[in-house]
Amino acid sequence: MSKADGKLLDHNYDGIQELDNKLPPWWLNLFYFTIIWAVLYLLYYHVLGMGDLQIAEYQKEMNPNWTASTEASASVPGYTSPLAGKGAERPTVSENEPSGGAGAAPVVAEKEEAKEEPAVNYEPFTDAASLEEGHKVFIQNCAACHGQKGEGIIGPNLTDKYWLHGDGSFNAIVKVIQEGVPTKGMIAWKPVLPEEKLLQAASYILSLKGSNPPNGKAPQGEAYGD
Amino acid sequence: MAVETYYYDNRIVRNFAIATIVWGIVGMLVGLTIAIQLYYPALNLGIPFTTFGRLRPLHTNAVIFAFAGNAIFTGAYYSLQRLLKARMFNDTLSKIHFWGWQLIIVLAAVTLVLGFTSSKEYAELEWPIDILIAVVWVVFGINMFGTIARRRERHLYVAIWFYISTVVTVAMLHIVNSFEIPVTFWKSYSLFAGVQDALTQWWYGHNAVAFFLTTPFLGLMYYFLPKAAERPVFSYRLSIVHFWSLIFIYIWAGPHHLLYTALPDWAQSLGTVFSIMLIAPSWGGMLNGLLTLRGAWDKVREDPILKFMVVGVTAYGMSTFEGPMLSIKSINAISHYTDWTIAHVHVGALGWNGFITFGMLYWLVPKIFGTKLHSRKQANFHFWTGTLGIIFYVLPMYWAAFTQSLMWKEFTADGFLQYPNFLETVLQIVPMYVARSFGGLLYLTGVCVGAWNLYVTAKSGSLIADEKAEAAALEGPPPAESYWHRWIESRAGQFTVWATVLVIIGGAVEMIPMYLVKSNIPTISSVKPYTPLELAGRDIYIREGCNNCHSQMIRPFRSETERYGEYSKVGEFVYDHPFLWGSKRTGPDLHRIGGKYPDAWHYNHMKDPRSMSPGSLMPPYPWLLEDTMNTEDMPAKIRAMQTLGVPYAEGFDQESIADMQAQAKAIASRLKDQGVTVDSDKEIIALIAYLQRLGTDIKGSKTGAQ
Repeated sequence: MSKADGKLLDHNYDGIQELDNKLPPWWLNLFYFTIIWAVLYLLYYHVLGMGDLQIAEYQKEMNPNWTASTEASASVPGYTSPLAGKGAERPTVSENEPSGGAGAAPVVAEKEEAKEEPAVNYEPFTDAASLEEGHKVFIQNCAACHGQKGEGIIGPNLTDKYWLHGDGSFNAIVKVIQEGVPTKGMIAWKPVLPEEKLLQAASYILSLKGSNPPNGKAPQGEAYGD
Repeated sequence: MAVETYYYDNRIVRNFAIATIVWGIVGMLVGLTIAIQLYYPALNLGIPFTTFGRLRPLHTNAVIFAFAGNAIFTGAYYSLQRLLKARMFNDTLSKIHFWGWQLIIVLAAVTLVLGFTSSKEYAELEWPIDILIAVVWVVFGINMFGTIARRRERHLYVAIWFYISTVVTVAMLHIVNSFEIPVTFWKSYSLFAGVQDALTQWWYGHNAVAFFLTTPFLGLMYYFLPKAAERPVFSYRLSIVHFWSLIFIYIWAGPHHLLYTALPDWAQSLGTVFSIMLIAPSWGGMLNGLLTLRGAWDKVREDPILKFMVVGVTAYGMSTFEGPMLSIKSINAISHYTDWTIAHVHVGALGWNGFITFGMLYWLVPKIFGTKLHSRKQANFHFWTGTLGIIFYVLPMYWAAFTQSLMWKEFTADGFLQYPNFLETVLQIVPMYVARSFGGLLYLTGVCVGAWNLYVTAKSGSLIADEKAEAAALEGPPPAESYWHRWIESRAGQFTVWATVLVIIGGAVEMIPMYLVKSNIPTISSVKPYTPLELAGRDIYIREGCNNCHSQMIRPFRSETERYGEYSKVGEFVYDHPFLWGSKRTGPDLHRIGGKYPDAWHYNHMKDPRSMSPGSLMPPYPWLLEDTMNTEDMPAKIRAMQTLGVPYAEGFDQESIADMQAQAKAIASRLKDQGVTVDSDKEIIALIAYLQRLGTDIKGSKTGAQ
């Protein structure tokens, strides 16, 4: 016991005694600070409505031009805090917000527009480096359903001349990869793979034609070309 | 005032001490096993009973309720008697408590590996065991309050305040979170659905940490630390302030387990602010422990008991600072679903609960056997292997968490996920999993040495089963007191009532609006109840413990909606009895798995995950392909769901089996088209039906799928 200690109280519990020390001031201040912080936090987010709640935060992450007023017309399941009377009057986003930086993701609306764009004509890669890169993408993303060599497992054989969707041309292959065949379980890869990787994978698939790997799946669809 | 002679019951203390050590080793061994399974999936052994999804709840239940639980009872039975100057109220109740608790543990071990589970974390046990737990807990309560009533000490010491709050609150938490409708003897559905179930569960889960792993251990600390140090407690006033503030504030903090989920924002914010306000009350306990050792640090250098306690209390201080930090949303956005949570709980569990327990046992076992500790050297060895074990455990977990979380959130310059394949982020942290299991092995080694040391110690003495003591009986009613707390300390009834009132408030304020106020759960008209086959699949998902590794809750972050799809809406879970949001992503989120892969992919993936995802850590589930699904319980399940308010048409229970078979046939024929031949009555069909349904209800709906 140091000199700074308060007096020993007359408590004795099975030999355990207690000192009458004051609460450490820093500890008490810490407690007060956290209580004030808590009050300010609730005020900021729920009473004054100054802070973005998580959906507003998300909308801004997806679209820096998003403002609370667009939310009113949007059909996101609305939520108004029972603590706040004026949730709807939240100030709109400052116009200084950067609009669409390099990292900005395409927003949902843009994706929908993309469907109406005229078809792009793609050219396959033929250089070894691109095909090797395409092979890697294939193994990582496609092989689970189409087999390590494209021989087909759940998904169809990609090495024969029979095609279920499109005519087996490079553009047709790219289209199927981009948009998928949701009814058959083929995923739309456009949102997942950067265009270059997607085209590399498609080029690799094109290069498999006629490779005739072992355990090839029986032909499906129509025959095209030779 | 006549001096009375009475005897302390040490036999019950010894029994609980033995149980603590035995279950501690068992629970940690299971923990080590599942840690190794994460990088060596073959250790799942290819059979249902030993897969990760079933062993993980066994590990958590064993270390919490069997190891820590028995440790609490050891210390409480020892210290209560001495602090109250009375033998335990009733020896028979003590025995019922002891054997009842061990029975619960054995039943838990058997039923969890058999796949009987409610899926709610740390409350997985099914309803018959829930009832048994409630009964045994009440027996403990009666025994404790009976002893308090017969005490020869006017005032209740701070340790007993903590014990009282523990008994009352755990009873409340356990009973409310176990509200469920039995379907069969080993199957029930939670009374609550979706967000309500989630909030109730984490009110429970968080406060199981508070009132099972914190308050009783603070009680133990307040008795055994000053005893071992032979020093007066630093501050009586600090005890008062931190006790009342701790029990009041803790209850509110549960929603911090659900940050950025579909839980309404106001509840999340309450979880955050009350967690922050919890720092000082928690640290009050740490300070009172550490400052009690002022002037005794020379002793700490020498005495392994005090070393255990100092590190234990320090670990408590660390994890109770880390916890509030993890409750800040921007930090939680990084930590949630990762191994950070695992690291955090193990600082608390291995450091605080484990080390306080061992410090207590090294102090108490020699006392009740009337001997000296067999080997101080071995105790020191235990201390150092334990401390190193904790470090080797938690550091790799922090590293793994940061690495994986950053990988999940990394975008390329073109706006694509840098690591779109979840598996890539898992394979990156496998070395950390290896290192973690080494830390766990070290810790367990120390425990085994400790067990041996205590065994030899006990052998060298003989149990003082009934230890003689003398004290004067209390006479008359409690006197008036000048200080308010001295007043309430001498009135156990009033004390208990006030403690109960304080612990009820937080939960009531958060949960009652969630149950009653409709605007908290905006409905989505396209969300429909599960078909009978999907429900059967969901029950298989629960049985196999899929929720231990897979979440079903996509947070509103670009990095998650790009990876998984539309973020999860609260209205999507209204028929989820119980909720299955999960808390950890060892594998990817599954909320939008429906329709993502063909049926055959799931079939092959369940048969051998590595055939579809090379390098995957997931155990294979071959029995799902062979076992016939349970159809006969379906009408009862439908009726239970109807009771819970799920809008199946009247009389649907009678059609449910036919409905199930029709859907199963359709899936089997789809599988056939994809080259997989399987009978339509196999469990895999039901599981595929469920997985293909998951998260699809809002697709095409204007309300949900904006």
